[in-house]
Amino acid sequence: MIDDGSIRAAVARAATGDEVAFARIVAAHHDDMARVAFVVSGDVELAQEAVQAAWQKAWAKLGSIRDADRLRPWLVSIAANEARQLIRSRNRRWLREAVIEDDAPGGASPAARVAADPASRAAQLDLANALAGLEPDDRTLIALRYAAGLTSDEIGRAIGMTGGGVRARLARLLTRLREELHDDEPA
Amino acid sequence: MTNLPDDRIDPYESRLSRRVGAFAEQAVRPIDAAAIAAAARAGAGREKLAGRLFGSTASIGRFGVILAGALVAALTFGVYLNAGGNVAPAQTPADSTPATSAPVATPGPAVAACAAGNLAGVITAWDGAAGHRIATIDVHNGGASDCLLPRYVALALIDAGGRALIVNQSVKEPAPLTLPADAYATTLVDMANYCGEAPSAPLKLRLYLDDESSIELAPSASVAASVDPPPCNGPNAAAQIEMQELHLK
Repeated sequence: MIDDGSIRAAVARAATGDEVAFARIVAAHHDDMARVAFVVSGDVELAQEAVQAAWQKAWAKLGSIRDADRLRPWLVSIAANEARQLIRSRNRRWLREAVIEDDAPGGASPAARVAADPASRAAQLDLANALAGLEPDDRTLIALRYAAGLTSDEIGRAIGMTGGGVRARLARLLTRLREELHDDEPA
Repeated sequence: MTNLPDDRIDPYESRLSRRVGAFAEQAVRPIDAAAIAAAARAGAGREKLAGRLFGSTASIGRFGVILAGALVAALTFGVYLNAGGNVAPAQTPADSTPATSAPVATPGPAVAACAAGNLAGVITAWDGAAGHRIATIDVHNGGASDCLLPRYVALALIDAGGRALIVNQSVKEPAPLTLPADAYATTLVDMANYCGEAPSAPLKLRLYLDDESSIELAPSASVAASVDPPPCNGPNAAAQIEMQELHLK
């Protein structure tokens, strides 16, 4: 993993067209972007496609990043947006479709490629179905918060809301998901 | 697994974060960062020119996702060739030790880090074995005084135009090597599994001394300039580039 100082230097160099420096940024952030795009889209292949499209945008706009500390929130939010656009453009349903495919002979959908352990698998399918019932905007919030670990303020800056607004909306989503997932016991 | 940020909203967040984190791990695949960066650059260029350039971003995008290879790199780097083409016994960077005559390591306070401007590097030999390309490199301190050179640096295999073919940003950090003025450091760089577009010759290496500076190593006059990149072993293995520890020549 590249440290913060290295990332700052890599951002500065990449913004001037240094492809090797850009590759170092890719190496540091691609996984986070894939996680976020997957939670938004529910499809591994589509998520990878979204992330590649996000890197293309990042390359074109990296010069607009003045504060390297905001690089990661910026990148994962681009990935989330690309995933949303892809599912919209393809009129894709989210994981409900993938879960059904997974039960078909030989049709193990990447989206439903969950843990082999039956209990974990069931838990992940429950989560998949719960996420499928959310609006794309809400899945984006969940992804940025719990797949990327952004703060409310970082999410707010990324999607054009206040930090307080993000917290309020997440609180409602937490209540809904806790009920749907039967996660009633304290963590 | 992603950490939950400090601005907690609800105690339930911890549990949901674990569930979402485990779920999202399905999307994580080994990647070839250099290929993804190259595809992003190419795609952005095409978009900017509004389709006036030819090519397909879709195929490039898929090309960027390549499976597993780090372990292969670690295992295969045990075999290397000397400049004369002899196969040396397996040796890992952790096993390698500087020559006994080398003024080893301990950086004195008066010795500064090597400045890129004072260093010149060349590829003195290209060898190949079992799907690998192995470059022998020399780095010369042309400055007036001793300087500290990292024993391991971030690396990139680049083509004649500077396009990155394979990148490695994993760097071990033992104490740096004290490189006397007018002295040479040397080591081997091992590369494998390049599956991208044919690069323009000559292939070169870029060594990142730190976050701000790097040096480019071209083949010396005595080395063939038209060496092919390491052959593609299949799209299911990641490209790799690894170095052994730099030591005094």
